Amino acid sequence: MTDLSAPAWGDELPSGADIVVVGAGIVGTAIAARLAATGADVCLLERAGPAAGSSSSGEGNLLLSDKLPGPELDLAMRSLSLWHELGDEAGARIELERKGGLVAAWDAAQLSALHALADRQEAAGVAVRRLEGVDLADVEPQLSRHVAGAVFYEADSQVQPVHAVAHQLERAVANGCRTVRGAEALRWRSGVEGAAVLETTCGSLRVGTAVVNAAGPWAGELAARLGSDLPVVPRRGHVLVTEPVVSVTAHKVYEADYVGSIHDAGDGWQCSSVVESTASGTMLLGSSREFVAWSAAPAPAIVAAIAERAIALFPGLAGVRLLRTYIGFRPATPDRLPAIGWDAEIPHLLHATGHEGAGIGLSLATAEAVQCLFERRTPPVGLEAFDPARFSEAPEPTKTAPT
Amino acid sequence: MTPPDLAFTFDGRPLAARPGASVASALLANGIRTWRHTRTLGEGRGLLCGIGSCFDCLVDVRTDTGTERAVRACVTSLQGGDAVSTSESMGASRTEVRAAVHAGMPAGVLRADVLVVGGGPAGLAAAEGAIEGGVSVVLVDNAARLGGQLMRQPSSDSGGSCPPLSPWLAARHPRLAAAAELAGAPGLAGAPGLTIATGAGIWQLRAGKHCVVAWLEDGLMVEATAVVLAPGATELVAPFPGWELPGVVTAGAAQSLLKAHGQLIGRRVLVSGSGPFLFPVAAGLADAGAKVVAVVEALPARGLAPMVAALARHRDKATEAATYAVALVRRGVPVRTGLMVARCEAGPDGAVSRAVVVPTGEAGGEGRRDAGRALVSDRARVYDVDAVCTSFGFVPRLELARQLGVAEEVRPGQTFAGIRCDEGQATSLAGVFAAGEVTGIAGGEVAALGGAVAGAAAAAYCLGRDPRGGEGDPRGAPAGRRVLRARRFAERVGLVYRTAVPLGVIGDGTVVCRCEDVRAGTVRAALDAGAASSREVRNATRCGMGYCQGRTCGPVVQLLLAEALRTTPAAVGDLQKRPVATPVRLELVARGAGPPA
Repeated sequence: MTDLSAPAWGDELPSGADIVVVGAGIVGTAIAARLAATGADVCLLERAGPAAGSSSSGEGNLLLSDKLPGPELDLAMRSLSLWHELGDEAGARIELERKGGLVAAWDAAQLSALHALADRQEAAGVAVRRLEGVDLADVEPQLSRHVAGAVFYEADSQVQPVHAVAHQLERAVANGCRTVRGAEALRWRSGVEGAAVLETTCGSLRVGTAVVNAAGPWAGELAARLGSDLPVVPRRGHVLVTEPVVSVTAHKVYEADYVGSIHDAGDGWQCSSVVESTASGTMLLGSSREFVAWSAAPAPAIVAAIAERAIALFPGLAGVRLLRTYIGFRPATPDRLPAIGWDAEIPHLLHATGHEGAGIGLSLATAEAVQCLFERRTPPVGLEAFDPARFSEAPEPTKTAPT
Repeated sequence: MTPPDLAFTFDGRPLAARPGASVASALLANGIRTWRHTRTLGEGRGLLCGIGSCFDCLVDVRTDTGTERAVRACVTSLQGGDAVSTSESMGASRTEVRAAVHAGMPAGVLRADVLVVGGGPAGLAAAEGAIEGGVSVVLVDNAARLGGQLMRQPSSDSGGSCPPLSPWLAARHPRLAAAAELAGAPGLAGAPGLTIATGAGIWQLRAGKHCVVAWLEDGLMVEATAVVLAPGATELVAPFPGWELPGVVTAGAAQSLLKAHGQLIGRRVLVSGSGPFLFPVAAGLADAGAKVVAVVEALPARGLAPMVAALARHRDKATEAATYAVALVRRGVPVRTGLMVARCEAGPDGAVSRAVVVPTGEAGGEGRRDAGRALVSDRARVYDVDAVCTSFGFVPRLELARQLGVAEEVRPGQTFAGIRCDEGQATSLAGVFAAGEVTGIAGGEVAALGGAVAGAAAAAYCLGRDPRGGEGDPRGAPAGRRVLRARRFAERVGLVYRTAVPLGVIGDGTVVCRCEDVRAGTVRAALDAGAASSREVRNATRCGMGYCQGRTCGPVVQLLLAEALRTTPAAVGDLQKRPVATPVRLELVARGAGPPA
């Protein structure tokens, strides 16, 4: 098991690097691995540890089902195909599983809206199966009989995100990327003529081409430290983990209003049931969305609501015991779309963040897009909708979180 | 007249047990030591902690009302007609989603001035102190009976009736005595101003502006103005090859089995590990008729010299030590120092049959990364046994404190963090008090004295009074001196034993996390890959993600990390952040948030 030749990570801060990636989460490590593989001079800074933030606080979703047709679905489809390539390479290590997703509608109105969405997704190339009655019971025998109908998305997949980050980190290090642990980016050093110098808690380093902001939900704060204004704020979520059970479902199953809850930025909190099993036999139950800054204490009312809605979807869960809960923070933008591209004002600053709850899934296409930006190539998926400049152009229509 | 035996079955075999038996004590009384098989390798498991903390002893129990899957044999009372069966796994292959069939307490909300968490010496003293202070109390303990580990009560000898109240409770806590008499069985009991809820743990504790709210695993909710945290500690078990075999248990498990059920853990027992706790356990087992083949202390005699000096300064402790020494000498139990269990081996039935003991220094380093090779030492000694009791001290149980967010500290002489509190037992949060082992391992005397202070302080807080009583409490000063004295002794003891956990013997193939079957090699691979905190090790390896949520392996992960990073166990963080302090059925979680917290 122990491979002593495995690259331990954690270098001294170098005096400079062409590209400095901030954040060793799924996005930062994917970018570092990809750039290092092309021979780029990359340094990865991480203030805590690999996958210490959002990357280890979600379920590892690689979903198409919850993406509205358009740029985000295009990016998700591109990313999913890259994940499958990575899965072929990394084998069982990253636990990539094409488990399939099932979206359940409670009534005729929800079902017809779901079908309308599925039609558009199908037109965009997503494989969908409309299920009702006996067909639905065949696919999900333990699902509540009160579910009116569902759509099954066979491409929806899952990955073990902590292992995926570890894998990307190893690839990056193997290709010469320097990684500095415990280094928090602070500010540009002022008064340095003709060069960009980044100050960190471990000292300063010269930046050749860019600092890549892959700081996830902290990206807004990092942008501010570097003189920019990027409206990325933490959107909190709860996940409940049950004791191991015989498979209640082999898929990821969620309520149709989940898609709405992602795009609803209203006050208070939203809760929409997401139920799935894991390789270890435990079940993960989600999900909630709320803007409460960095509040770390679980909210009893939300934990109760998630349990209640999970039981509504799968009544047999009532007697299953809850083992733990955890909290994560999604990097949310006002329009729920990621921010990928050069900063509108600040030179040497490129953003790759704001993926909300889809960062694991979108990370690989994001890394590919970042590489294309550096190489001045056209990325496979257009980045116009993700341009960070969009936030400074129009007045902000939706509410942002209190800070 | 002897009450009739309980008839039950295990995997279809008809058996009988004494009334009041737990499932575990009933199985052991019938010579059954293995009753679970692990999910990944199918290895046998049996009792480990004996107090409901480790979740290693899971069985399935079919009763009249339905089947309960994966319940803890050590804390589940056996009922006549129960069909007990092997739990094939931690659940994945056997546990089916089931409708709830529990006949627990009715859901309801209790309100009181003070919530006392824990029914051991600290909690009982706190409840008594609060009642004396003129306020109402709800006392919650997850065990079926009050007393905690130190003052564990015998189980009832007939289903549902009350056990005879042992004299210590009547003498120490007269106001609790009547209510405790009623609290003989899990459930609710009470006297004016006092409600006792036993047999269910708190899974969630929240502090609001002027109240605390506790959610119990059976659906009960308790709302109070102040809380005294006295949940005690869990035993530190250091792994060695074969520590997962059925028959290898914590010293505390052997003691509680004997105290509560009069059941011996084995006929030929080795007591090993490090710390003063080994002696009362060994003496108790020997007095009850077990052949204790040896008491094996990992520290060498020279390392124990400061202990002798400490005892010389604390006459009462020396007297207690002498009692155990006399008992061990009388029973012919040899005490050997500077030795440790290098590995345990299984007999034909898969449970422990031999323990290989080697000098501590020699074992160190040999086992590491060398799981396949046997440890060889000239001075190795092999004991034929049917049980091994192991203990390396105690770890404050912080999960509820962590949920509230009270400040912690590592007191002098302690290895692990405890709740920080002042001389009035107040924590960093208003209305939250703490006492006993959760504030640092110091023994029953400090716990009881601190509990009394905490209870009085909590009462004063509720009534808006100065906790010091204004005029000066005549009992306060001498009690304070006794606490200081006892703490100083605990400090000396802690300094003697703090280095005694031998990590070198943990080979790569040795199980670290028993719930998730994670081996030391996997943990070390995570360390090699750069993991620098317990949380990172957990996320990378699943260590601590099982039923017990790292209660058993968490301290071991801390010690391994601290060794690798050359720092202290407290510095690498622990796995005690548990938003769900004990597993709870989802339907009870769904019942709602209750009163605003």
